[in-house]
Amino acid sequence: MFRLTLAQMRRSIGRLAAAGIAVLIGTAFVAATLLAGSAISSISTDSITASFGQADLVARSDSSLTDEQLSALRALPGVAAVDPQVQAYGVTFSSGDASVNQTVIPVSSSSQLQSQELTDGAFPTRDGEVTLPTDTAERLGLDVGDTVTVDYYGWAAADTRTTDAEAVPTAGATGEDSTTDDSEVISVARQAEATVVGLTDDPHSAWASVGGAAEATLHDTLVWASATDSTEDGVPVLAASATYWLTVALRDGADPATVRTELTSILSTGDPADTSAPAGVFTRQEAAEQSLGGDGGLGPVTAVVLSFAAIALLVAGLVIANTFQVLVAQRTRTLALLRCVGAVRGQIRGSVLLEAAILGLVSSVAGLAVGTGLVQVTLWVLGRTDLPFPVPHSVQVTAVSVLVPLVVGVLVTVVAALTPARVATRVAPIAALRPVDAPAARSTAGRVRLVLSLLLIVGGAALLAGGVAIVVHAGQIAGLGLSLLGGAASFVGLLVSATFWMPRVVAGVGALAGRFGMPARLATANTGRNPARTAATSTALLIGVTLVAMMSTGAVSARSTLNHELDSRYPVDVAVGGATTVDAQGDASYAALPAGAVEQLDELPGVESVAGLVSQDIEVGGSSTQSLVISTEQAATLLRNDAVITAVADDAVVMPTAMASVDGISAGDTVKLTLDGEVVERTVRTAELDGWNVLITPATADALGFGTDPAVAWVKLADVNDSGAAVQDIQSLFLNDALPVTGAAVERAGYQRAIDTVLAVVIGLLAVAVVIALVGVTNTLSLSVLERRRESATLRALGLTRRQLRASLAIEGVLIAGVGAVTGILLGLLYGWAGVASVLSVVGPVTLAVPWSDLGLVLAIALAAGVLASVIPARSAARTPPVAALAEA
Amino acid sequence: MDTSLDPHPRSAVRARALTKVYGTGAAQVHALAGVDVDFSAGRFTAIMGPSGSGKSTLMHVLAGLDAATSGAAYLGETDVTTLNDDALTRLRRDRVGFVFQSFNLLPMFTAEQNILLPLELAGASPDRAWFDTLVATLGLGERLSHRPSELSGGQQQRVAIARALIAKPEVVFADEPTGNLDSRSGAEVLSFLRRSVRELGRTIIMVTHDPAAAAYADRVVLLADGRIAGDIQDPTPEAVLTGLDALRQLETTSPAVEA
Repeated sequence: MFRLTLAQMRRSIGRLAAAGIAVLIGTAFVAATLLAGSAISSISTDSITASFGQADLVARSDSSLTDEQLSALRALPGVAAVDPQVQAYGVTFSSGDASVNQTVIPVSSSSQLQSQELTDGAFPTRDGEVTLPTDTAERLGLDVGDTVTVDYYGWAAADTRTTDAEAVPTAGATGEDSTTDDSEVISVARQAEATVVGLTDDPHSAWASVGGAAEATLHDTLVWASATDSTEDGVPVLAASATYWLTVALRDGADPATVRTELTSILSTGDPADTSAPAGVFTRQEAAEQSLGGDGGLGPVTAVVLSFAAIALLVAGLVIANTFQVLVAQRTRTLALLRCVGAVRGQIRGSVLLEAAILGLVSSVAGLAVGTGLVQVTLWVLGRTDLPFPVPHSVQVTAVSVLVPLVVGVLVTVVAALTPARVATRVAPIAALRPVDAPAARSTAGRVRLVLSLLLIVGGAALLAGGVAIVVHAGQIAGLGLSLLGGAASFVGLLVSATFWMPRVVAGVGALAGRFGMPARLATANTGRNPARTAATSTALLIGVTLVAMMSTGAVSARSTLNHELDSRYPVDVAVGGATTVDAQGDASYAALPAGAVEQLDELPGVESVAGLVSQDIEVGGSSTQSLVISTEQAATLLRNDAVITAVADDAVVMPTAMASVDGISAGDTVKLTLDGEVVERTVRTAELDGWNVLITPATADALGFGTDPAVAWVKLADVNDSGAAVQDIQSLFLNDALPVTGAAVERAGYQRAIDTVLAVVIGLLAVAVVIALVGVTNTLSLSVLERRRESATLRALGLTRRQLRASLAIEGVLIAGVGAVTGILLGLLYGWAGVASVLSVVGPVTLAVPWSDLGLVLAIALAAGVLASVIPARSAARTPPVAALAEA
Repeated sequence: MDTSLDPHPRSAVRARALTKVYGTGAAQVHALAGVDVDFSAGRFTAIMGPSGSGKSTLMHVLAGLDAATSGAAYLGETDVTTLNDDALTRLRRDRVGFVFQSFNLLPMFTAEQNILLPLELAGASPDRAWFDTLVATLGLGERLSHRPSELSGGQQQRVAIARALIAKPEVVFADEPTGNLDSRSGAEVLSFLRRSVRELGRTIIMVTHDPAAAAYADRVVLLADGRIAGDIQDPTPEAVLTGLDALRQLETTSPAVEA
């Protein structure tokens, strides 16, 4: 039987190869995901291991490490050195105009625990000394011995805000207040000077992910990390830095086991207040894995990517099942002959399954090679680019990364061939004696399947609708779970029942297409001949297209829902400036915009209109409030919220609704606006504004005697949904002037980037499934052409031109692909809308949008692919000489 | 009806010095070795000959299904050997009908759709009266909505004959039309072919190796070794058998035939 199987495979090598490609792509996907996952994980692990220096042990406490524990650990006889793994983020080093945001770590107490190497100078020994990474020093234009300014946040008692800070925690620190409140301590910006005593290199990329680390004394590091006593410039407290990990160097001859026990007992407080992880002592490697969560923190990501691989494999399975069904149908005679000469059913089934297993194995091995090759090439390319982390030179091939793709690939192929194998056993020996005309794989869809899938569809749709209703009407996010479950169930139901409805849809669409001549009618009739096969082929495409359309619809709807929210909350796309200075009396004044700023903004591409607005604090009904001066014309050209535009008027003052309610003022009231003794009366109008300032017109401002220097520039962008580049341009324009850039566009750019990135990645991953499905369309058409060789010849003999024959196959391809794509798009729209309604209804009213361009693109690709898929089969069909019609069957 | 009574019928199909050579060198086979023959319009002509005599090849070339090596084959005044594929396709569609040994109906179409197929391919609208005549003559009235798989062999071949005649082609080529039928159905089909010549005025050229089938024709052209080897007018089965026997003797005695 084995030799027979091989012989049959040789005869069908072309068909099998086409099916094998589907498996190949799927397994390559799995292999690449696993290998890339382990490569990324090893990059992270190596980097963390490097941050432990050459520590003998790495320990973790069960609660935030205290100064007392540190002293106790340092006093242990077997311990040579112990360093807590403190990190201060958000510290800014500056010199002149240049500034760099830098992570700071405490200098090690022992060279063994040092994670970086000195290239010049020495490590800090006293407070007020720092080492800087070489490239940071370069960017700041500093060298050993120079002084660097350090900006960080510290605590200050709120009532001291009007005087310069007197307490000096480190060399030459001065205070500068920000927010105001009463009596308690607040976080304020602090500044200190430090001397650069050394330059460091990070040869093992321990701190590459944060762009290198500066080193300072533990005292300074804690101060800069705001880990101090919460009093005005309080003393540093280790426990406030929320540090759990520490590195340990052992004395020569110390017994590691004893030290471990001692370390653990000191680090176990028995009061795990803020962590559930128990204290422990690890090797560097173990600790790195521990702190990453065992798998480099990639578990969820890998799982998500693998689920896309699973979708691709599911589609590949459909393609395989199709191919085998046709192979079995074509071999009916051979199979019957085998049965005649004594093959039992088991042998026939075995032969088909063996064939599937061999195909699965060969394709999986090829897929594994392709996947490994892809990751390897990526590593080579990355290795040649300048990345802030070390890239492994070669993939780490593990048992898992080899076996999983192989096993999965073979399993999918064999499982897909199960039904065709069963069909093969049903071939009666007598069939060998009958002439076989156009073998057709009969649909074996049963009643059970119909009932089951109907239950799934109806039940799933009900759950989905219920879930959406719960979220929309009750605002309960719990409905999301129901929607998810219902959506998944109904989709599975639709897929399982595709055999029933898909051929009807194809026939319906074909009937419409049939009006355009004989080739179209032929194509329609042909798609109806093997409903099961047509359904499976279209369904394979449907899966990918539905998911792509769903993601795209979801993204667009989410975007327009958020846009709607943002439009009403932030009428201004971008606001530049508004930097405040508070004088000793607590009065704020607004720094004027740099000269030419408005003109510069106006010249940026993507900026539609811009205006410089004067801003001053005025008394509104007795309380001091920032005002912005905007004319009605400026409002009309700059704002996105019509309510605000219409509110701006010479006789009115526009207040944010929230501010008005806090101040007990309501719309329509008349309030007094006061500035330096000048008083005008204006009618209050309220609007949904996010800020805390009022809008007045130039007429009002003149009456109050405002200055004329604009403090704030309001910018309207040409396309707020594509604002990323424009916002970056604006930010880079004022890089050195410390002008805040705020507004909806900044937030939008952030949302936009997040949505676009996720969407691009997800669609990229789903594209694999679509590609496999399109391979399936080609495969189905090729097989049909082979089956219909004599028919094609008959039609040619009866007067069908080659062009008509090719057209007929192209239309068939378009029908199969088009119906899969169109139903997929429709389903995707529904699921996408349901998803957005379930997720975003809690944010605000959901806007259901249709991503026309994306969906159009998907449809165009599917239709083009349908035509393309028919090219090769059509060529072979058109080559069939009409004489073949006269040949005996 | 008139044409069948014409004492000097014009030729529907003519072959002049027609040759067809397969292969090259030692493997060369002369399937047609210079055939000159005329087939009259409005007649039912059978082409007979032993296996390998070239009768099928002759039909393929005359019908524009296969290219000739040299010589000319005329359908009416058109030399089919000079036409390209598209022109040949149109010629087959508009001027030639086919009846195949294994029926070759399209399984996804009903009998009616199969019959109308040549008109559909040409984009022509069917002549309903002609369609009804054919259906009535061939006794297919009850079967029009059936698919080929629901029809017996004889019924399928009658559908095929209707399909061949629907476009009123200048000539219908039938290739062993009874080869896949039992004798009763075969006789039925042959009567229909003869009726369509006698009553409907069509021209039919049939290839067969069955003397009984050939006897239904108005004339039998005998072929051997790619040449015309005999011509029997108004044949009876006995006359055809005699003719064939003569051919066999010729073959066994002729030193030229070794392959």
